[in-house]
Amino acid sequence: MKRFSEYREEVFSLINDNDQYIIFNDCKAILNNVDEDIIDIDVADSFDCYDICKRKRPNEENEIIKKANFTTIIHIMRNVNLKIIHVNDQSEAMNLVFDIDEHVKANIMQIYLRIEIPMESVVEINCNEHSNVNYIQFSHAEKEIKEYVNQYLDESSTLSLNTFSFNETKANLMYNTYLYSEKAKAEFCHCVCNISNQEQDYILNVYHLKPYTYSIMKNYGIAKNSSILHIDSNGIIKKGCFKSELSQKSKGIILDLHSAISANPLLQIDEYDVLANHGASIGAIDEDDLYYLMSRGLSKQMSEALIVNAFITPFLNQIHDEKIEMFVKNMIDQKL
Amino acid sequence: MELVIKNLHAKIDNKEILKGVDLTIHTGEMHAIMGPNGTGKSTLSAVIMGNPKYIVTEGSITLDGEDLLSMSVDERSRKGIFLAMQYPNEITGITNSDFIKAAMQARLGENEHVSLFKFIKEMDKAVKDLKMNPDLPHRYINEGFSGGEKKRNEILQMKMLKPHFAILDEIDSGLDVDALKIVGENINGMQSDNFASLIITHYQRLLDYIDVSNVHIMVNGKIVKSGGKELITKVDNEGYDWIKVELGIVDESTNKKEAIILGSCAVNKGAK
Repeated sequence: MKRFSEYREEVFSLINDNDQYIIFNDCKAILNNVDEDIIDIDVADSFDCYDICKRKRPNEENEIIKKANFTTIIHIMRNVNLKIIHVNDQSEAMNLVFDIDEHVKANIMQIYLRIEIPMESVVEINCNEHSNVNYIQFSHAEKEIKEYVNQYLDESSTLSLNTFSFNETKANLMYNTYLYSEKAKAEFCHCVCNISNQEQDYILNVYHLKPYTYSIMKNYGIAKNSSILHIDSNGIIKKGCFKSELSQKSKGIILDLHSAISANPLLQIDEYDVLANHGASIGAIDEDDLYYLMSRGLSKQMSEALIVNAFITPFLNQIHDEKIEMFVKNMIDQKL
Repeated sequence: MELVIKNLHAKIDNKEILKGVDLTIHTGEMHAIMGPNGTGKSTLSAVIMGNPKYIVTEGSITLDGEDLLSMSVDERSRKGIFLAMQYPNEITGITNSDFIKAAMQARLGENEHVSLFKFIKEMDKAVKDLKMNPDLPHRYINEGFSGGEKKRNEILQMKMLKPHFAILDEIDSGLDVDALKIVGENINGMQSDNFASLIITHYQRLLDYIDVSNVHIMVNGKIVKSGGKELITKVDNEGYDWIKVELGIVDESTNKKEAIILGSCAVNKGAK
């Protein structure tokens, strides 16, 4: 077991002077700098009371919830920019709930900086009426990671969810989005880079449960070092959810002969008066793109790096924090 | 500097396109190549740049005596060859400014760096010269550009990278009259003792704005006639038939056209 002091310098290199932050060590919030009028951090024994949709949780989720024993609840009451950093080398499970009040605008940036033990987590994001949530997550795990991220969107709430998973190990991630009130709107940008030499599964489900709901999802996958990446996106529009819109696009780029990506975008539409589309494209680096860049003097290596970086650009564009952006860029440069 | 092409033969998918091209270009000269469709003009430009889809089967290209054909695409570019492409690629996620800055950096030594101030100043000027949208540097390469914007973007890159030999492959296609004038004037403005261009076009209209020194006509994978500006006027007035007659050329592309059976939708097997 490492003491937090061993991570301290690395963690604080990502924090600016004026940031409101919470630092988790071994799944517990151990340090914070938050205004208590804006953010309330609580720890509860129970978990299910935060499941707005009262859905039946799959067994895997319940097992994680039980294993974690307690739940950290971050209640956001006023507009805020919040940074959360996780380091973990001991605890195996975490439950975390974000509860964003009505009409509140919250920018949440969650960084899994060091995950040095196999870890499982359930994260829930409750976006109450008219809230506007911009959630960014960067995940870098050195040990196996399993994560469920469930988002519940109330009436006229907006969620922009941007994730970049750079896990160097086996990974299973499931994102479930429930648009359970009218005019709820969700936009997703998922970037996944698998260089682990292992298999990673990403399941992304969006449930349109009320009329006039909107979702758009863009997934970008990169596979290298004989790695296998599965990205399954499911868009579900239930009966009666008229005037709903749903779009899902997945793009994958394979950087060596022994890697593989599968992208399966599925739509289950049970209502006529909706707009829905999906698409997926996977392949090696486009030879014509490579030729175009090289024809301007860039070496093959440099051209490939630019094209790969271009895949991650949609995520980087969402980070409005110089330190985090540099951290992510440096990691990409080192590892890719 | 001089670019010398000798007896160049090249093929794609086992089909020979170039059948012995001879051409010499010196810096300070502006060359134009004209010719009917399918005679190998774009193939010539792709082979000079090093497009891997084409295979050179015979002949040579040298740049100041150095073997260009043995160089990779990026080496050719850094040596001063530039190709403004007929159909430039769209690449999402890479901004024009990042791309051009990286290309400029690739031309410098390990310890040299592109001056950001100088780069922005030059880029702003080039964007203004080409009357392009000021947000262009921040947009992804050619993404969402109109045909005309893509062509102007090629010229913008040429202005920024300052090549010695620029090959402009049908840079006039997709341009309206005003854009044609802007592009033509910007190409003409590049004229210097360190710059030469090879302009591939079907029409006279672009050449109205460019002070061309040499004109070549290409038919059936070869340059069959070279001369001065008078050739442009003659082609514009009379097309290419006169040259075929004058030199006794049989146009292979038209000669080979034959009717083929595509197949049938249904087969009548008759009553059993």
